[in-house]
Amino acid sequence: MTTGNPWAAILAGHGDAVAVRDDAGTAFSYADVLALRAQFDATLGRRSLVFLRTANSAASVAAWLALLASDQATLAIEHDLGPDRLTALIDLYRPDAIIDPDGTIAPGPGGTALHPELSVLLSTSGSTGSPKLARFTAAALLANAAAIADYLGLTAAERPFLALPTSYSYGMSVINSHALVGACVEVTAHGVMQAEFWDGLKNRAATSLSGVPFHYDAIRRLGLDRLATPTLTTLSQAGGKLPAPVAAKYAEWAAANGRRFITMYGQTEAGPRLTWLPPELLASHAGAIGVPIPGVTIDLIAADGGVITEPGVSGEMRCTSPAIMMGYAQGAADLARGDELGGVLMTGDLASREEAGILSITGRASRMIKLFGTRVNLDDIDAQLARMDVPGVSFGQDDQLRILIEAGEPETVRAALIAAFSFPPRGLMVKAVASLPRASSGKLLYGALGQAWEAAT
Amino acid sequence: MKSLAEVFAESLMIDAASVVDSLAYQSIKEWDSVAHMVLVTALEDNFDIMLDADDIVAMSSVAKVREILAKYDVAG
Repeated sequence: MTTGNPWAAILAGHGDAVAVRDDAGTAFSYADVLALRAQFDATLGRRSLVFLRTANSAASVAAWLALLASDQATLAIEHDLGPDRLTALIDLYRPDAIIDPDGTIAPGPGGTALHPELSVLLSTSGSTGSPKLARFTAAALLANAAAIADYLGLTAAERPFLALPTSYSYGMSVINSHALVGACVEVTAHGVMQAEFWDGLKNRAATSLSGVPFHYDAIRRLGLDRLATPTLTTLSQAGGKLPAPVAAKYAEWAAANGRRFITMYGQTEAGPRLTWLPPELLASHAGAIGVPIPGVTIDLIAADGGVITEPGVSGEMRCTSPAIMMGYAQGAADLARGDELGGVLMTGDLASREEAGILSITGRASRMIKLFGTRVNLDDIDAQLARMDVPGVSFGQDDQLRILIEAGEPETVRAALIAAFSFPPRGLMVKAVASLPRASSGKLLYGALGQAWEAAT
Repeated sequence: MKSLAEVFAESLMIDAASVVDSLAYQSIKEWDSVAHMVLVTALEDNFDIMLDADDIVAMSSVAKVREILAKYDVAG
């Protein structure tokens, strides 16, 4: 096997340094990761499309890094994705192999042609096992890892405490950026509401914590003093908008305790990170997403396609970055395609920029919401309703996924959707209406769904 | 004032029949960290108590919650 992948040389340079440790104390060194890569290569025999089922364990993170540094093309998906969603992905993309979190390799149907530069595939919505994937080169993910290491000032001495799912772009970016500098990822399967999480944070001498807005709400409930361990210096936040008052609370705490709280923004399709808010600006700009990370340029595009130059005017963020995906995949044939975007991405998120260049999100143009940090493509939900033969439509806003159905029992539909997917059930509500609001042409009136919801019981 | 089982059922949006002592956090999809936050607030509102953070993170099962509530003089 060739070692043209730049990650291989980078990981080799870290020698026997520990790459990852988990709750059980199991650890893999960078050398172990490369040995694992050799094992995978030997078993697979030739460049393959691999599905890696991930978990928050050392073996799983080591498998991810081994594949990242290899010549395989890997789709990372959470191990707890519903079996029929996994089967659907296997049938659609026909991987050569499926690797479990413990490293066990099972053969897949195989036969999918791969573009030579394709290295990583990420689902645009892991919690629904969305078949819409983002296609990446190894160089793209390396560029993002390097930019992150730069603006966060990462060194091999960092010990990030990682509770985020490891197949999600945010969790993956924590792993990749720390692997670049030779640090040890302290991965945990425990959640912020568990005593074991807090014991681990302290006992494993974690230096940083990453979370979505929900985590930071939970931590406020538990009391911010829990964060003041002897070693924890950086808190980072992405995965949705942190309300300004909450951001202000953390800014106050960080300043009073000599720690950094760093808000960031990104998107799976961007590899994933795009902006960061330098911590010294948090107090004066609570709720903003900051400035582009190194190597990224952001333009705000008006409805007529022109670039907005006036401060305070909203437009869709268009990002230019070496980490942008090559394009989407919606089926096996798409994996043979190369770069279609040339490093430029329309994000579907609206933002405005103030005089000093600080960006703030003002809205979302696309059919997507965040449910307590996890991304849900509304079109994927609608596709599931269609598969279930339920006439209905999904809509909503962050933390509130709403389904209006014209037939069927709301409770039954809700239970079926919870079983099919892995987003937080609390975020989902289903109501029945006699008929959905439509124009005389029969076209659904998305703008009237909110009113229809309020009127329904 | 609702019973403990009723508070659990409403917070997790599950059947009251599923609320048995052995039901554990993360053992069902409906009891995730998001539901846990809702549960904490619901317990506090229903029983008129303020739960200590150390107790919140120790609430790993229905049985454990009962035990913890007893410290607050609550019999659910």
